[in-house]
Amino acid sequence: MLIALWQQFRQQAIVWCEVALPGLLIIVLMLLIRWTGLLQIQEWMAFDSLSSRCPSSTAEHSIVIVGIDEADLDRVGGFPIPDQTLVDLLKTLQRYSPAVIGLGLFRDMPVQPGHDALAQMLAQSSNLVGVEMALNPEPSLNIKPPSMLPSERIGFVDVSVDEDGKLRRMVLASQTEQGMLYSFALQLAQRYLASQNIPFQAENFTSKSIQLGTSELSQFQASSGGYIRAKTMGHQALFNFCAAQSLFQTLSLTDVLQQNFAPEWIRDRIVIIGMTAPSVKDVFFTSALRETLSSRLISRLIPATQLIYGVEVQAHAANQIINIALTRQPQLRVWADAWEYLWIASWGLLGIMLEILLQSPWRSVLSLVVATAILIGISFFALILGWWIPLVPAGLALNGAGLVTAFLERNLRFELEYRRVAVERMYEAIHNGPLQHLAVVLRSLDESNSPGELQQQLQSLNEELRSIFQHMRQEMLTRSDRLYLKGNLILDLQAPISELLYQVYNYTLEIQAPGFAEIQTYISPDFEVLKRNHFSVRQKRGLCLFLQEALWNVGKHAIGTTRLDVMCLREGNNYVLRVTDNGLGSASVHEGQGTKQAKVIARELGGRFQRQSHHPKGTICELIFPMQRNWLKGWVRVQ
Amino acid sequence: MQSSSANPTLRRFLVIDDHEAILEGTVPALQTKYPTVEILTAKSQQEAKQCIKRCCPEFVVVDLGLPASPATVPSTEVGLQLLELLMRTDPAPNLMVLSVNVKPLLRLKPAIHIYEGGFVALDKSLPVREMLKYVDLALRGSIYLPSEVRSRPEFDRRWLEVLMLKYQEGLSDKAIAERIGISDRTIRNYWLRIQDALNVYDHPNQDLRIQIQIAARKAGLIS
Repeated sequence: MLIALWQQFRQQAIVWCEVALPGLLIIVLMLLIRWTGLLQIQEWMAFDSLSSRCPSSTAEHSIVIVGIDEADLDRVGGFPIPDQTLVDLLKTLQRYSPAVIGLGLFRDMPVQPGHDALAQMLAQSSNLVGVEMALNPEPSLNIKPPSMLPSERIGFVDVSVDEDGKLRRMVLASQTEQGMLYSFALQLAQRYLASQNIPFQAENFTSKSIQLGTSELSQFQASSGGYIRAKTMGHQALFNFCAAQSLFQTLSLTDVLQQNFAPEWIRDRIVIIGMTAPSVKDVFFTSALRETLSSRLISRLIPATQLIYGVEVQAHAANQIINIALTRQPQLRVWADAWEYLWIASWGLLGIMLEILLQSPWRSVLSLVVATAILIGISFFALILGWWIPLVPAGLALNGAGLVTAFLERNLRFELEYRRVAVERMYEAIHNGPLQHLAVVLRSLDESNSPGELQQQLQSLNEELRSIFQHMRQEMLTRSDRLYLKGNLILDLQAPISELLYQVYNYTLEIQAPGFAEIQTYISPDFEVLKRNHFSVRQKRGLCLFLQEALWNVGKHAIGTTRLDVMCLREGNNYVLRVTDNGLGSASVHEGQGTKQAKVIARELGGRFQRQSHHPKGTICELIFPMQRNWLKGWVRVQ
Repeated sequence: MQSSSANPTLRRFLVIDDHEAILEGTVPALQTKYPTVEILTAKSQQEAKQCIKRCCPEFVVVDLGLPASPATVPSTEVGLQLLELLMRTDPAPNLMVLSVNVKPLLRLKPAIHIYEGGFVALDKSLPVREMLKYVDLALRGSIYLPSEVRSRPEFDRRWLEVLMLKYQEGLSDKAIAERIGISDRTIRNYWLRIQDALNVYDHPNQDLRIQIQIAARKAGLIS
């Protein structure tokens, strides 16, 4: 028993392997393509596109941006802003006691008037942080910080942009010749967190993470998420734009100078001063944010790619660090490479399994669509929870492996089906032709038959067998829908059913058979009643074969029949095809090929077959099947 | 269901054939044999339909291979369509089908058996003289089909019903006609056909209906 089961399983497994192998190859190919990094950009696009659909962030912002826009530039007489204006700005802000002020403007040169006042202010304000560009290997491309700021109140604003020109990660710190340098955002966050009594240890940089109070900020690795062998410069982290879908509170320079704001916007918060004027090109690209300060003005002109001001990037970076430290939002995490590849392979395997299990073509396509939607859904919700998991390669593996498997599986199934049909047709042809003929010959052997007659019958049998082969070969070549009746009569099954049945009726009754010899009256059928029903080629074949078989049985067994009644009529919602004779009934209980065939035909038509004896003598053989009204046709006729 | 033509006194024949030569051969011969009859002709299905609608012919000669309209190619399908239309016409004309191939009539056979009027099918190659004999047969209400179509002694279920009602329930012709919903003319024709099918011939010394009953019993049609 167990062995039999195992054997069966093994057989099935061999078939599955044959079908699944190409799908497995597709999965391997997909893993290789991902490994080479060819899918990186598509994966970034998917990431951005999912991020931009994340729900809006409701987390409280501790940051306000003071953006110097075109109107401000007009008022102060253009770029750069004079030092005196900055002094006024800083003085006004300090009056509302912010936690920390970030001066996100490059002030390495004096812009008179008011430089001395600014120098003094910068030197004395302990809550003020300035910016520099410091990570460029070529020193002349770096921009120095304001000279009067002590080094611990300076942060770099260097960024790391991806190959598609878009911003997805921030540089937090970097080991240089001058020692460890920290980013502007990190400096701001550190001071802000200190004011909230959260210690931030700048020393705790491991290769994997950065300690932020009780939380840890995981570091960007060369193959984090969708990245394949990315260049990592210093200590970096991924932007979690999904969790930052909201705009920062923004004031213009004029707003601040005219004190046109609520005091709580400034008190105990981070104020970042930067340029928000399009004429001063301090912008980056991102498509992961639904809205930026810049897109508010020009999103209709550039819908796909959004511009984001440098100051806003710094605000996002500082905000993310603070939120993670305060555990207000999850940080973006990724899986280890092995898990990612396993994930991709699993979806590919799912595709293969779906196709093997669901064998109908539309269902298999539908299942792939549903599975893809589920995959996208999983990726999206994972992103909201802070996990970036591979989407594009998994989707491609699922659909690629699934479609290849579906195609092969169908192909294999068709081939088997075709073989089965061929064998069936062959048997049908032999059974309905030569075998019947042979039966007549054998029967007549009892009676005193002359050898010449017998020879002639055997000769015609021989010819019939040969013609079957020719006909079958032709049919297999052309795949035409024809029915081989006997000798050289071939019916075209495209013809109306009534005509086909008349032909079967007429030709079958022409055959010399003992049962037909004494018939005096043929009560003729009216097959026209079937006209209203739509029959498939298969069903027509079945009905023709049934009629032929039923008439043949009369010819072979019902000796002494004087009256043959073939009836085709409607009874309620059923059609009845009935052959009644009044000859000797066949007492045989043996279920022959003919009966089996009749039962199969009945099943295909959704009806039943029965044979019973007729009073006072004879046999009734009937096929009863439900009407299948072609509604469209009926409707057209009514019209 | 009796003929109720606009002009009942005038008998009309209609000959439908797209070949001028056939018309030229058939029409004068018919005219000679039936001098009081008006003989109309049509060369396409379209023309024939108009003619049938307008003047209700008593007898129609149809070619199976017929064009739908004068400009088109003749086809058997068109002829069969016309034939089916004719068989639905009221009052039912007596029909004669002339064709080089009468085989397609095979599927109309059940309808022919129960048709109200006479029905004769002939091979077109038959001489006109022979053809004229069969015209009488059709006008009488009988059925005649050539051997290609009539390969065995067939008996229609309706006729069987008539036999049953007559000899087992003893109904009159009128009652039988009412019971199975056919006209008096049809039942008369049915009797003719039953008589033909059972090979019973009129003989002055014998009662025809009794002869039919004997023959039917012998054939196992009634018990």
